[in-house]
Amino acid sequence: MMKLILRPMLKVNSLVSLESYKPCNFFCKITNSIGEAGLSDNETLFKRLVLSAQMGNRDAYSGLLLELRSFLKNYLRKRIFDQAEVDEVIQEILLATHKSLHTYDPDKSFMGWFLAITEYKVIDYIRGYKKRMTTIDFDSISNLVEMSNSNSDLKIDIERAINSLSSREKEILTLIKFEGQSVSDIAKRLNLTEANVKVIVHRAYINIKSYLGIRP
Amino acid sequence: MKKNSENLINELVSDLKPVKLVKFRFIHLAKVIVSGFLCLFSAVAITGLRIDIEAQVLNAKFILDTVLLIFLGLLSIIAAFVLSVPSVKKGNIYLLPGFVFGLILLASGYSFLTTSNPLLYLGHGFACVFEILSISILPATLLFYFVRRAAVLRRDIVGILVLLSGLSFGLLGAQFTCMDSTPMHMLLWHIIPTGVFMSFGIWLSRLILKKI
Repeated sequence: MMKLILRPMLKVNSLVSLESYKPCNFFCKITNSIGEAGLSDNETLFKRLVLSAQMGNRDAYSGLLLELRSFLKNYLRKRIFDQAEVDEVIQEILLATHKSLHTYDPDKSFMGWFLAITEYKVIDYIRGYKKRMTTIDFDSISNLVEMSNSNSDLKIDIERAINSLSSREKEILTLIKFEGQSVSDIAKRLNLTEANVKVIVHRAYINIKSYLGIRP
Repeated sequence: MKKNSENLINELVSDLKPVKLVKFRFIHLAKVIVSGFLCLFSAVAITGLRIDIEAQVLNAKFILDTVLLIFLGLLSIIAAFVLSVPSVKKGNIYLLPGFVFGLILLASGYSFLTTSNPLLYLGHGFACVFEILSISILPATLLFYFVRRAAVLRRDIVGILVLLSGLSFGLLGAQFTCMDSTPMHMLLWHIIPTGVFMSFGIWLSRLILKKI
């Protein structure tokens, strides 16, 4: 069974199993308030874990990645608008950390190094997100609806897909596609920002496509 | 959602091997500088020093240009090394070589604008462009080799800095070999080609440096 070095509250060399691991509350409490100054309390622990990982210690590495993941969940909550994509960004950051492991200098701050990777990946994500938002294919949904008029099976599938959406997604999709209202009108009516409306439509569109087995 | 990052962590852990630390030291900086000066001296040996060198070394503008170019080369190399390792503290270091290059460009532009009938001195300077480029190849290649081993987050900027460091040696070489000091020639055949080649760094960085 794989052993892990976990929890800053425990001694670094105490080992617990992966199955019994829960993200440490201590660290989450600190990061909830984004007390980045408080992060320095964990520098020693992170340094020990990362140094062991650099020497090839898989247990230490696993512990480090799990701790970083729980840290990132809190850290990204305030930075990533679309909460559904947080895990994707976390994975990107962990992967980048893995690729950059050989560049961490033990004489320097771990958080300084790690946050540089994190910020870069968050900016990268935001850039990609903006690009995706500006290229939302509203017409694709119309095309699907039009196609469904001549295909009763598809019509049933689309109805089911729309029914599987959340009430907010369904409401906005109905307003935009079936009542022909503009994004700005819907935003005013529902007291949302235009970007928020676009995000919801985009997500609804992806959900419909994935329900229908079409690659988003 | 949780399962995905958990799978990734398991994959990364099983993929872990002991790593060889990449740490840039003075020796790396020295290697790039030595290679740059080696190319510069070779070029000077082949083409010969400009005839008016004795007069030029007493010229304040020539001295200032030379000092700025040496600074530009040094700062670009240091900035490329610093930016090739993730760090939150020194993220804006690339502004320093940018500032120095901006100063050189401004000085050159000012001289151009204050010269009467600058187009009279248009001439041609393909030899200068060729010399700048050929001097810059070795130091830029060596620097690319070093930074490639690290983890470059901002590839575009590092690519530009790598080429700028090599090209600054090229500009320095041209400073000592090219007889034509007219603002038009300097701007058209030294500074502008350097700016153009520097921008190729964006493309080269995407080709050479690994995406993190």
